[in-house]
Amino acid sequence: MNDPLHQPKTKKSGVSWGALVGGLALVIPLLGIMLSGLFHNPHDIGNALADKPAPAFTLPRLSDGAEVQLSQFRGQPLVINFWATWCRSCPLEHPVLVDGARRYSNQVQFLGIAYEDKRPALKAWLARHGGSSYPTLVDVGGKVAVAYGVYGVPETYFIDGEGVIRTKHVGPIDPQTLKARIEGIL
Amino acid sequence: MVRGPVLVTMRRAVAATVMVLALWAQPALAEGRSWTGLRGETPVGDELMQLGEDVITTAGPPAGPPLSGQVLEDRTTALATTLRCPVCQSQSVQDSTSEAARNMRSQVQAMLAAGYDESQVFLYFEHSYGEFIRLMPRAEGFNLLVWAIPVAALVLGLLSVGLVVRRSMGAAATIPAVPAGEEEGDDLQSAPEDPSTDTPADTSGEQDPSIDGSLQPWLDRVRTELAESDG
Repeated sequence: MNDPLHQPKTKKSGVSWGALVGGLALVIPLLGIMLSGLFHNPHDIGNALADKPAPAFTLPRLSDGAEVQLSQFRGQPLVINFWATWCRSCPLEHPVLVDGARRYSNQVQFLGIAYEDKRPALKAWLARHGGSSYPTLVDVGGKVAVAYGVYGVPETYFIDGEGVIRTKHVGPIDPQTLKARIEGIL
Repeated sequence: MVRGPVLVTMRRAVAATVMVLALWAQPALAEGRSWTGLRGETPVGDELMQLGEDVITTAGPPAGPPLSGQVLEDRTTALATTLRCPVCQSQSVQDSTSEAARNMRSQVQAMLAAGYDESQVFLYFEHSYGEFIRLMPRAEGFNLLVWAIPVAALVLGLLSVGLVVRRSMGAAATIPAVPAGEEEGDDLQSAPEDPSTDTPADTSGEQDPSIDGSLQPWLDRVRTELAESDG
């Protein structure tokens, strides 16, 4: 007789190993991506222009308004520093750059490019901080900063005699780093 | 004294209020389309930014027709929406009110006005900033994961839901249907209630014609076991 009270159970209970493995295979890589994001500086986007020719530009010089072209410095290693008067850490590196420009004046040309700034403010700032030993150019409209992939100040680009960007330093630069980077373009 | 999470919440509320008031007082900021109080110098006398000499070196000669008027504005807005503002947190050039975003938008507009097409504009910005500058990465190579994982997760989710629903429907189908009017306990409670005892009336041996014959052995057994347990 078919006893309905004693029919065998047909439904299995417990963990579905297939679902567990499938779920973990999906979740673990996502967790890995999230964790790597936690330890990544979102502002560190690298230097897309590394080993590429430095973008050409023509900008007015702060001191007299005369136009300065990148091509004027062909064959000469360059240090180009993007900075601004509103930048908090720029006063820290300013003496380092002024000293470096004097120290390497026979080998390297230093240029400052003012980022999102106005001429009166720039002149007043330089007067307050002891002047400069190299020319400052004014990036009118900010197109040179866009061309160089600048996403904050200060940023310093090191360009060799061939006009190729070798490295870029993000943040205020110290004398040791400046020396090492300059040696890399000589 | 107010401390801990309450203080943090109060500070956030005050900050949010100040921000809302600032946006209310400066509709230009809220709209993000009018730019006042710029830190940097802007070109004088030019409605459009003059393209730098590096543009033709990087993107080549313009590949399309020069744009102007509303078409130019619409295409600029569409393209600026897909470019990442490099100084903001996950905001597009179109949405950001930063000066860097304004400069980039001007660059996009000037390139489109000169006849550069969309791919050339992307080429120019990627040359400077890398693929980071695209808010939507290209669907190729490793980037395919970004597009494939959500689709795969959706498909797997739908399959899992379908599987669960199918299993539960199969399990429901294996439970014998109870005839109408014979819900659980109905038969036992159908006897006249005797308040002096909890024992249901002994109806064993009686055949109710309304009950499915296949259920009769089951009902008989339940009655027997109930009688035994009460006895």
